Amino acid sequence: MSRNTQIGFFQSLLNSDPTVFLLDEYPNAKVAYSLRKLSSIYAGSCIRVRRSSDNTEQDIGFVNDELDTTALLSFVGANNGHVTTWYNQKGTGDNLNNITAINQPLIVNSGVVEKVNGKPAILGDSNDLLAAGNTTTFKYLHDGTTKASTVSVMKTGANVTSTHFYWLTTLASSTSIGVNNFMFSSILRQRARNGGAATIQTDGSIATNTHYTFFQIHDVGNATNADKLIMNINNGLDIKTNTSSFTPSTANSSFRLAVFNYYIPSNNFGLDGHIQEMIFWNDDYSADKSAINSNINNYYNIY
Amino acid sequence: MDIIGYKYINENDAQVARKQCADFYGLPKTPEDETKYWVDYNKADLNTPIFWYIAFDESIEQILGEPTTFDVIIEF
Repeated sequence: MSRNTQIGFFQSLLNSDPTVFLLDEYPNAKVAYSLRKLSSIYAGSCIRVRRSSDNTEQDIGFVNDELDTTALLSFVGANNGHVTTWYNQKGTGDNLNNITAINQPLIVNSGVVEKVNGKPAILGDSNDLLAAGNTTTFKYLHDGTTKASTVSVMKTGANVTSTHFYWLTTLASSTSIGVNNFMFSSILRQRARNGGAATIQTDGSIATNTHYTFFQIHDVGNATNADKLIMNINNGLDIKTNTSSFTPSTANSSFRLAVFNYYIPSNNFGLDGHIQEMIFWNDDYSADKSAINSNINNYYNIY
Repeated sequence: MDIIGYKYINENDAQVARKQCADFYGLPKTPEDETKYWVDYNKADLNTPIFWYIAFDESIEQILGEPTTFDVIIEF
């Protein structure tokens, strides 16, 4: 084994080590939400929870770099626990939250922590929504100048025919604009749009009740149509199905990030499933895709 | 798409209904809490004329009464 090969081998081991915090290795994230700790620097809480018994709220932190489920159950008891806030582990604000009780997703169901493969997970019920960001936080995803990377860990539910996963939105209009991800006909569609019919999109096949990690590249200004939106599912082959030359407008900068739904909740089109982690980098980590996927899979045991 | 809920022709009426529901459930519990409302209203901005509505949930039927069904234009 040559010296360079040895260095590459040990770097690969380091990067796939689940005890290495992802944001320490790949730091240029805009926002990072997870039920495990992603950064050695971050010292804040993981989530804020409202218990159904009396609507009291409490911050829940980490123990051993994972959500403190003991503190969570001690607070919620035999009731339901709803996520009011999913804290951004970059520590820059932009927390995912919802101020409306009926649309807050679930972390404890009748005294039992929601889990996927033994790890805590947040469950949406098709009418839920969490939103984050000021009007310019996510401009980089559609401004045509930045090659951005996102990764998300989720499990689909029984409905992959008409649900929304995440969406850049003004939260004030039902016009479909910005970068978004939604599911229909057993497809996850990664899309960018300005309203109207013009759109670029990449489609990946998905199934019901299945655990996934999606690594995506958003490069909407790329001159090669197939490279504008790239999707990778469970560290398989890259999916590049876009054929449109359409370029989303750079003028649409007033977007917030909606997770679990479209711009409005209570529309029965929200995600029927669990989310465990979402990281949005304003950097190109396509060369590190396998190492990032390995770090995630070593922790979540997805594939 | 058909929505079951409560339709308002001006935003102020929707805000009043939202507050009725929040008051019923004692929200916000404290000023520091994230949760301010029990339900929120939406704007049907692609309909003509525009209107505001609160989607139905069993938990608000005793507060807002019997819901109706109406069409909301949503672009996907």
